[in-house]
Amino acid sequence: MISGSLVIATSVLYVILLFALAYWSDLMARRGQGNLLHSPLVFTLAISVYCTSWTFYGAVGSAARNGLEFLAVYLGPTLVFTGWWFGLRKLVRIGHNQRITSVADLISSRFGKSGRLAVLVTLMAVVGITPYIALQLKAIATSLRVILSGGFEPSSHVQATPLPQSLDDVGLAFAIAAAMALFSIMFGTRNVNANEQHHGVVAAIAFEAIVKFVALIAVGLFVVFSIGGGFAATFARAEDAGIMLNAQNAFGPRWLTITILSAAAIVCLPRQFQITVVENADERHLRTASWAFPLYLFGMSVFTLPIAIIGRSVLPAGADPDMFVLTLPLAFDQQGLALFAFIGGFSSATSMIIIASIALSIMISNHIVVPIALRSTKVPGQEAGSGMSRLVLTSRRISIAVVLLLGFVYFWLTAGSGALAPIGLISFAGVAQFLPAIIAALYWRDATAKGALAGLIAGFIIWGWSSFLPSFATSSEQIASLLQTGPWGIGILRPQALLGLSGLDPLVHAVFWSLLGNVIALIGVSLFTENDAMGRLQSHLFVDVFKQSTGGHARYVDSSATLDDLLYMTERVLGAEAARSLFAKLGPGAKGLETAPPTPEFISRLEKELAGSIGAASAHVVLGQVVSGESITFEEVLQMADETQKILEYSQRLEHTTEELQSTTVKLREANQQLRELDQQKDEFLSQVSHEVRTPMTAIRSFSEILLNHDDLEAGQRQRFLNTIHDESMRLTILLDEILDLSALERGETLWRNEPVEVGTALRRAIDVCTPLTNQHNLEVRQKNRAENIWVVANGDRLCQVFINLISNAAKYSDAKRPFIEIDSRVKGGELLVDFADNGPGIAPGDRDIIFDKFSRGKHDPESSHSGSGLGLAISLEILVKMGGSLKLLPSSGRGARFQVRLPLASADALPPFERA
Amino acid sequence: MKPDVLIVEDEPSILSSLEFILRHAGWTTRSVTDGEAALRAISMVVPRVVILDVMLPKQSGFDVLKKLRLDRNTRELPILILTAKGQQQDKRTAQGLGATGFITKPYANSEVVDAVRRLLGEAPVRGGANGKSEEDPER
Amino acid sequence: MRGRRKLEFVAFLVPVGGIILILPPLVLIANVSTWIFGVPAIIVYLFAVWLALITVAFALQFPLGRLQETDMEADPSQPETAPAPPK
Repeated sequence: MISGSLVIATSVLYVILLFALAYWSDLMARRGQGNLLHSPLVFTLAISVYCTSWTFYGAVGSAARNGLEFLAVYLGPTLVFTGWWFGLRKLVRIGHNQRITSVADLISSRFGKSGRLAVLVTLMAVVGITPYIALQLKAIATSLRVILSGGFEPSSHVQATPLPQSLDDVGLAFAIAAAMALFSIMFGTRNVNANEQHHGVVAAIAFEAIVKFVALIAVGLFVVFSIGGGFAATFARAEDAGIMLNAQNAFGPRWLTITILSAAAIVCLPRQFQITVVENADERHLRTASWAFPLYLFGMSVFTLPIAIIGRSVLPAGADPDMFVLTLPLAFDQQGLALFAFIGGFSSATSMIIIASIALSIMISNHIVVPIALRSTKVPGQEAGSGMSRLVLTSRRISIAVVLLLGFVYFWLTAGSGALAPIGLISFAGVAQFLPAIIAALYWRDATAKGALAGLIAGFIIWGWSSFLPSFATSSEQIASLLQTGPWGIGILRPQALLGLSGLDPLVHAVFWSLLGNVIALIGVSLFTENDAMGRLQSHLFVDVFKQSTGGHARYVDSSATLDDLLYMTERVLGAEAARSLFAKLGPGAKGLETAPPTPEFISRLEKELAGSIGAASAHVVLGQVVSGESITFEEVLQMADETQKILEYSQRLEHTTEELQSTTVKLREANQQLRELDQQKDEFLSQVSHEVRTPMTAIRSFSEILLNHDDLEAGQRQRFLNTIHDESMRLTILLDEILDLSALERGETLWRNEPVEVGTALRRAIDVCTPLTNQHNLEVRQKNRAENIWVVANGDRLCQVFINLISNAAKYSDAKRPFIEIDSRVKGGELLVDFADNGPGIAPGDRDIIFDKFSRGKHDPESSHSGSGLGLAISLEILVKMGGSLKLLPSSGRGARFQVRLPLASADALPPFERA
Repeated sequence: MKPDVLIVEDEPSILSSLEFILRHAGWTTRSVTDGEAALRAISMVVPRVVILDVMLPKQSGFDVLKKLRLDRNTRELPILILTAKGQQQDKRTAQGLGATGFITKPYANSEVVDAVRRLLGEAPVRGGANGKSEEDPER
Repeated sequence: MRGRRKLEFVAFLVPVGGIILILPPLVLIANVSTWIFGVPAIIVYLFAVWLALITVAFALQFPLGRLQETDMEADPSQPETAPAPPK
């Protein structure tokens, strides 16, 4: 028999030890010596706050009733932690980047810093955790009663009783709740931290993790080896003890459901989120936790089933299996071990209550109290000193008290509703409603705030209806009858058989419907709504957290608020000292507290730091108020960006216009240049014409003067001079004709008719016309291929003119001993090709490019033409172009020039009727 | 033998008319039809006067003029420029390059004879600028 | 980069493999009344799977840790190994 005073004294001493540890740890952390505190081991142990009195006491009870089912509660978290690289790592990274303070903050922050979402999640968390806290109160109260009564009092909880327990029990629970509230307040709300981390608390929780682990292992070892005689012997008793190890339905829907719920809980439970994400000092710690935490769970579970088996087989039939951990040592008169076990259970309950209440109080103060306070008072913290800071602290203290009071009320109302594990599972199902929103927050870019809101509400309502409400059935007649008949007798709305889906385990039923409704609402509403600007930004920051280098975004573009103003405001929130140190940390510009306006980056960073203290939404509002006057909301920034964009576009248009102007100028300049060139060409042409005309004129004038002045000339000489005069005047005539001809061609002759022309005929005519000339120059005209009956669309006379020109050029320039011209006419590729190759001097390389220019007789050639005008080739080219053909000087292989005429063939229907067929 | 006049002209009919009238005036002539040949001929035997057409193959008359003026031997050589373009620009260019005389085509035969005579420093035969009298010294 | 994808795939297989192993139908194979060294087969099976998951996670922490270090070096917003203690 353990005396009550000893138990109480031990408990109080234990709490004092914890407090001292926490205080010392805080001190160490402040001195910067808390390396151990930031170790991954402490982090892992702190995560073990997952193992509450439900694990310590309730798991055994669960094993005694349902066999292996309790394992699922630990396998789910094991899966999540071994898969840390994919889920937890991202969550923790986002938590750091966005200074997330709670699960409500996470969801609100992701969905556009929505205040409504934060409030909803906070309320859901409070309601969802209430049964859980009640569970701890119940466990402490029961264990206290058990250890004080010596362990042999049969539990009165086994039978459901409709009325509350004896006043003693309720009073005890109330006293415990009050003590826990005090304890949590002392621990968790001594100050408002800049990043919402509680090093002292975490250290205490880690210590408690060791205590409960050692205590449970100690009991386990005692039970298995001292009572049971080893594992094999213990398991041999299983059947006798009535524990079904190979139940057919052991791995049915309930197994799956609990696995899912526990996996969700390890992330969604506010206290787990607090430890894993908020209190996490270093992302690297996840590595160790990924195997160490599952290992811890493994150790906590090894003895669960053996204890249940031995308890069942050794203890009297009415003994509460939830208390086996305590009653077995008592039964075998191991009072020291029993006391240790009690402290272990006590520590598992207190750690849960402390962290859960702190987490909830942060959520309540950040998402409900502060926003309301901000709305009601114009300037945050009007009272002097640490106004906002005090408000935050006060609200947190009250919140902790309220949370514990709610837990107590739930305990009171549902007293006698039964075992610990089912109560815990109700909480699990409640907080699991956050899971779809969290997953969407991390991985689904298009999830919207409205979608998240809809999903959460739907899931919460269904959970409340099908899981939370029925837990009151044992203490409320109305609720019991509601379960039986449904509201107003509507059968399909019966909480545990929605839409007539009966036959399912109530837990499976509730989880199925609530998560289904949750997910459908989330997806459905998200698909039909859009994120606002902030929501889009945040969704990017969350989903792509590993793709961006910095989370910093300047949202305050311009503000007239000075650093002084911001410091003043920050002091309101964090307290004077914390604010100053924060400003010092945030960097240059803050030192002298100049009145210069802070940079947008500074304000953004400040907002993030403040968000670590009072939540993203509140920090946004606070800063918005201070920076106000020029307070710039994100939408305004976007609008500004939009205007900037417009200005940019305008200036781009201007630039474009300028460019157009410039290009017009350039074009004009080019046109001008062209005109000038044309003008110059005209001048040159005129000059050329003048030259070309003057040359024969000179000869004519000179010889006529000679003839006039010299009567004594020989007849032959006279005759020669007259001939020259005649030739030169002919040359002059031809020149003038050709100039007019070319001018007409260039201007566009009005009477130009293209008609089918037979090439062979045209060529023969040209050769005939040239015969006197070729004879004169001894030029032999050879024909290689003869294109006969080939029709081209051309002007017959003009085509003939081209041929004559080419032949006569060969004749005029011929200088070979046996000059010849070879004409090669053929059809190739749908074109008529006529080559004129001579063995004359050819075209000097330097002249090849200008040969078709006007007056471009090979000037470089000493033997240049004396009778040509230099217009022949230019005219020929002009003619051929007008007929759709071309004239080219082919690269000559040997001596001589080789010109090629190309003309398109006439299509069949263009031919004269008699030529067709 | 040193010719009195070197004629540089590529148009055969003009060349033959110039040869006729200059020989008829009593001078000896030599003819080339392009710029290079002109320079070659002058480098071998410097004539007393050069009649230089501008539009020549290979080297223009101006190029030839420029080169002759750079050479000490021919710096003072009287050169008469013949051009068919007849523009003021050409005349200025010719003067700038140091041409002694400038005649535009088509010209009167007497213009050429008078100019050559002047350049040779000979007095006008029988006085007066009459072409007939000039070109008929033997009469 | 390919090594990274492979490693991440292995890391991905751990929880997925765990899920497959502890859920029906695979778990039903062990759910028979066979005893191994006096311990029911199903218990041996579940705890063995559990221990295997822990072992693989333990082994993976090293290569994944190196990956994480390179990632965090690339992310300048992550240097806070130990947050400055508030004064």
